Amino acid sequence: MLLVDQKADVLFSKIDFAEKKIKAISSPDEILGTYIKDLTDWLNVLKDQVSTAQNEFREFIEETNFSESDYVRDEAQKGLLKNMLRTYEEIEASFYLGVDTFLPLMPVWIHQRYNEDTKRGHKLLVDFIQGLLRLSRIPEVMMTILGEAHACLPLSWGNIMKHVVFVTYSEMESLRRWVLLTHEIGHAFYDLHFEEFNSSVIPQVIRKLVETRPLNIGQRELETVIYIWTRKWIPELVSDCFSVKTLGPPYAVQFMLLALNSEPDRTDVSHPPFNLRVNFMMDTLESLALPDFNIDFYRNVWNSYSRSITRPSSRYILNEEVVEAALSGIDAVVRDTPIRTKWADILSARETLLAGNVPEKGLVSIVSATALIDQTINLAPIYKGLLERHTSYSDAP
Amino acid sequence: MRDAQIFLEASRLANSALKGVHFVQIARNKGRSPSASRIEKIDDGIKLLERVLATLEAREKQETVSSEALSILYAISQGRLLAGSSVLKQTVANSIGELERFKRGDTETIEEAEELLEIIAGSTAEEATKASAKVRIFMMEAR
Repeated sequence: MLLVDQKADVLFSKIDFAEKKIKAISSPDEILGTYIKDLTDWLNVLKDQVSTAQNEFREFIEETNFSESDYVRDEAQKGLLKNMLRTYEEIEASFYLGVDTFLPLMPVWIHQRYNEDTKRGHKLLVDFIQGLLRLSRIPEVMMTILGEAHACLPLSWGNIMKHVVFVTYSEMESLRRWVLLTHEIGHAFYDLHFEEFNSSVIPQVIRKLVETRPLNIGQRELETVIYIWTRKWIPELVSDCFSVKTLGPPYAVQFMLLALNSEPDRTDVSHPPFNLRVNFMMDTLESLALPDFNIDFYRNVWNSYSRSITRPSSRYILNEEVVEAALSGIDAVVRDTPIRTKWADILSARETLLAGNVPEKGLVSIVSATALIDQTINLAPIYKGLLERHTSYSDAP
Repeated sequence: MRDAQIFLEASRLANSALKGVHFVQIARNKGRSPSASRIEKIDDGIKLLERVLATLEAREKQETVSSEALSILYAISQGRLLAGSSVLKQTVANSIGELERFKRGDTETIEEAEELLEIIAGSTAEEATKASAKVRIFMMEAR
């Protein structure tokens, strides 16, 4: 058997393994079920890709008389052999991104959903995530996995795009911190509305980057800065804007805690500086003009730290015109403001929580209200009350 | 993750075009007419280069850009000396013309287009690997 055919066999056996693992789940719950259907279709696509690669290699052998006992000398044949091998690399990478990343999450999901230690807390978190999705009108159900950090894992199976939300395990009982998960849902919002951002905000930002490019910035640096803004920073800022317009002050307050560090203006390839993000959130909040919320108080709190330890940046990537084009463009596309209708509920829930009771409100409102309550107040009884309310029945595996 | 997938798709299209080019070259070297399916593969490369060209032009006019083309421009700029926008546009336009002539059989060899497609396929595959490595770390931590 040719070495290349052995490689194809390895891929086929990985696909078979994935299919077997899927079939072994006899009755998947309603959330996992939506992933399984799309994954099964994607495995069939991958199987076709491996078969096509095998057939192409047979044609290559027919055309070139290739044999594993000698090496290729003709330039076109050498080039074709390289292309054939690259095809296998591409399929392997596709398998890794779409299958190897997701497959181990299925047993983790099932374990966390039905295990005695985690099932109730996990169920409450899942309810919260589904509540957030409904509030923000994102037509998707999302697997929620207790893991190492808050994160959103996007999965692309052909034309189908799905997401998995990860929640920091050590914060699973910290209700206040749950509002930060809105940012992860924001990444799904960005993917859902990608075409709109791609036809408005992204061209505006690129135009400004080109217009304001200093003489000492070469083509390579320009391409890098365009890439960072369009592929990394804009999605992050969209998620921030989405989060503030969805949950308002509770999100911004908890984000300030997360962002508080010694270098609020530090630039990172993957995320814009915290200072830029918090100021964007404050401006967005101000434009919402929510009643009974003193934006100046929070602005001053943030500035008391950030203005004290940083100075304005003159870096090209943070050019004011570029930032303004990005923020105003994002604000225009993220139109919905669910917080406007939710805010009264959240304020009312906060009053009930301060009296030590579990409010008769929806889970999203209650969790949001906890984010506004002084950190010294113990929310453990509230968490217990919510567990009882939301997990009074148990799911059978 | 999404980055890795976009890089991977760009690499797949450039590689597919190169397979077409090399299959056609081998057939012609043997004095045979290449099959239509092999010639069609070259269209993958032409379409990809047309998207890069359109994106270079759209960037100047503040119009919708192709995220695939943006990723290509980033990938080919990493670790390589990238010419200014006008020179790059000329190279891409020349390559499209070269591929069209090669398809029709007006020319037997292609140089600029093959080199450009090879750079695109190689550099985007490399960036896909880098982006996948980040996913790998994330998944290890997440588990």
